[in-house]
Amino acid sequence: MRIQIALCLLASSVAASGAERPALSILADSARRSCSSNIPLEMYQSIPLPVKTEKGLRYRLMFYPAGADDPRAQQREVNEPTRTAEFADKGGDVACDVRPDYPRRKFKKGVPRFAPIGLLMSEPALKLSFEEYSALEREVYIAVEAAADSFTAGKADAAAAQRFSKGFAVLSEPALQGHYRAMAPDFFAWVDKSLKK
Amino acid sequence: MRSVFFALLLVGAALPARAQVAVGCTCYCGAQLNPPCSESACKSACGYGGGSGDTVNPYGPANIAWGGMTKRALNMIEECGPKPACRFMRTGVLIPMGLMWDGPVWLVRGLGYGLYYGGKGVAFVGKGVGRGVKAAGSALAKPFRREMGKRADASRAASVEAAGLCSLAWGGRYQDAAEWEACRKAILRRQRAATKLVPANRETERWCKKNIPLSSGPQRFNWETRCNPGVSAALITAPLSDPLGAPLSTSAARLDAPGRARPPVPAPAAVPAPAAIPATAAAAAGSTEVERVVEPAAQAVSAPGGTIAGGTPATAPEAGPKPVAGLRDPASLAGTPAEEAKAAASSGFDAQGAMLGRTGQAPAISAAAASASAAPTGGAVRGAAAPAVQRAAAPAVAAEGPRAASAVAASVMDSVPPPSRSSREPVLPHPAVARGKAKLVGDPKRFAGSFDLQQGNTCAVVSIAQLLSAYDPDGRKVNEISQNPLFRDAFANGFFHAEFSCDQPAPRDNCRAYYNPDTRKCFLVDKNGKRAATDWDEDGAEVMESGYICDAARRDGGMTPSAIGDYLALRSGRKVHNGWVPAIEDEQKAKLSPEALAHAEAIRATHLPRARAEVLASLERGNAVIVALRRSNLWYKSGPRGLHAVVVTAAVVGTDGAPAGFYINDSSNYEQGRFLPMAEFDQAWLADDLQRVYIE
Repeated sequence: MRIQIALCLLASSVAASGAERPALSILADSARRSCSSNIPLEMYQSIPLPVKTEKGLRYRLMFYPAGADDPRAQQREVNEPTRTAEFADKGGDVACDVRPDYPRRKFKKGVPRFAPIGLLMSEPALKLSFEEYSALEREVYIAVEAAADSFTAGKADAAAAQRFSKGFAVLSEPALQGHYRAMAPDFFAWVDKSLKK
Repeated sequence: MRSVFFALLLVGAALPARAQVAVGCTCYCGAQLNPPCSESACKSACGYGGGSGDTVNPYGPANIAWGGMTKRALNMIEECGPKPACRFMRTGVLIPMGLMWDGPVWLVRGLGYGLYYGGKGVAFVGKGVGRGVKAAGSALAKPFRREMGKRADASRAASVEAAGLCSLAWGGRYQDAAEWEACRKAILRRQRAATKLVPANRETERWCKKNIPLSSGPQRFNWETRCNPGVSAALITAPLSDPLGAPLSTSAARLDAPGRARPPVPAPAAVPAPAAIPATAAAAAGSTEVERVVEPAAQAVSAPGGTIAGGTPATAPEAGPKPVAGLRDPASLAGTPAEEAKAAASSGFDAQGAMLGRTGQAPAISAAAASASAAPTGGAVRGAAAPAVQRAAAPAVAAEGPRAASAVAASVMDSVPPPSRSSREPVLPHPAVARGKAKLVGDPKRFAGSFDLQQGNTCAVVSIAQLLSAYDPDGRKVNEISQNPLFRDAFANGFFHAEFSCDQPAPRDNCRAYYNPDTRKCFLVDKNGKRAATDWDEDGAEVMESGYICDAARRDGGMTPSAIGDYLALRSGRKVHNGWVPAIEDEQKAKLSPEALAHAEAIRATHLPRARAEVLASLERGNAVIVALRRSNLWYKSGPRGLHAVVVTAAVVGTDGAPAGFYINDSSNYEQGRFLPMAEFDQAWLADDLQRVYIE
């Protein structure tokens, strides 16, 4: 895993040299802005992933609360996503209340309904410095964009899938793994197919 | 010859009986009996109660009188009367025969009695000896027993020591269900031990068993305060255990800590109601910037939550600055109903988790606790804080006496974490300012009175509190308020947004939390406006649990970008500017830069300088500015995207008029007057949408 992270960081540092923010990152932030009437400042947002719809290629991302006693805590406890937004690949046309078929929680006696569902950050991500994390985040956004092209074309692309998977495994929220797959099931099917899992 | 003699004896012994047959006999009572006469027959004739063993059946075979044959022989000799021959004969024959017959019986009886009484005697002797030995041992062991007693006392005392490791205070976090279960058991075990040691503790023990709280919720803190007293509260970093915002003993004491005394607050100034101007919430004409200019009379358009069926309706618009409803001063506490005050004093919270006693009469407390609540007050705000301290301390006083009470009060006071180093250190002037190469715009040390450590996601609330406290239209402060009453007010009026995935009424449907200031309880409302259940009771049925909702809302909710400006306008009664970069969608509608990269370039090239200039201009006018920054950039910590509101209090401006950096108050760690160089500030700000909110 460490080697993979190092490779990711190396790739991202090369890509990041003198570069601006990835377009997908800007589009995702813009989508948040469009939906801001229902998304408090402190709400976290997930990595956007591509989906094929009737309108063509679009991206989805989740907004979810993650609490901690210390407001500055890195590691937090994630609650169920409350909103999922969907936006066009060129930006705009934002739908703020998409409802993918997320895995349903099994409620049981004694466990409050709002109990956290897991952790915000993976162990490898916690070990990253701020600069390393930023670089890897940028790399993941670029990798998603690159993978989206092959995904839309419907052709297997092992390199793009591999590039995405490495970064995604580190940066994605451990608590939301099932939610990511439910949010973009076709994309993960394409990734699995490309990686011949 | 000998045989003839014995035969004559036998005949002689038999003869008198025959003679009596002829003459009959007279009993001692005068009754005449026919032969054969006997004592038993006389007793029977004279009305004597019958002897059992000696009763002789005159016509049947003789009873075998075990051990009584000799006595019977003597009776027969007595019956001879004054006849020497008869007496002689009977004495010679019957007495030896009786002795022969009774001898073995007496021997057996004697042995039995001997064994019985002998054993009894031995037992008594043994008992006596045992007591003697025991007394002697006790006397010998006295010095050693004193030492053992000390150990036993120490053991008992240890069993009633605070169950600190499982306490909420330990690590300042709520445990998961399994951990809490162990914690609860440990605390109840402690209570049982305390009752054994001091029987007067039984009432407290019963209360603790009866009022077991959920693992997270406002009652948790109170329960532990009473049932697990003496645990230091120092490690509760963010006391979310009181989501409704009533200052807990910890937070209240923090406010009262040395160096944090607030100046007395004058009565709110009467601010003339501004003219009613319709709200405008649109992009400025001819500009791509979104400027949500909120006029006070419009009351921020409407509360974001709107009107909720069956819940708390959004506040109706009113002109002028609206006082914060959540504030209660001591005078308003005086009119509290006696029942409520009694309930507050006795329990501290009700079964549904609502904090009782918020408005109740404070129960009697120790001098130490009283001193804690009598520290320099912040006017109305401090008036609300005092009962909280008293509530926490009072049960311990009743349960464990003055010593325990003072210990609790002392732990509350001693354990309060001081403000962070950065906030206590004087804000040093920027070197460039000190050298005269730059000027300082604004005051980095502003808002000492209203700056507070945020509890939950209240960064925007703390920021608004600072701006409200600084608003000074007539040379007097309008109000000086802290985050808790302001949070309650914003929450009650729908400006604090807390949404959860409730799966009610349909799967994946959301519900939203609200706070009712009248009942002081939180509740959930589903998308149809109906109250939603949230928790499970002991029988497994879902129930509403106010405290849990309040906790979750404060922890996971927050203010939306537009609500910050709207609420500031509502409470300040002034025109508020709330600007941010438009979304691409808005630009597309305005047929401006539709491409993402062009959009980003426009932000950097056009919006950023403009936003900076606005902040600087506002600071020059004496108004601080609320800005939203990406939290990971602000704290140099890795993490997903999430935003955080801080207050810009001052700027260092170079000779060319360009800002070199801003001073901010960051409520996340109580950091006041932190200087952020411009590049770092821009990076964190650009990661957001350059939002800035200020009073115009």
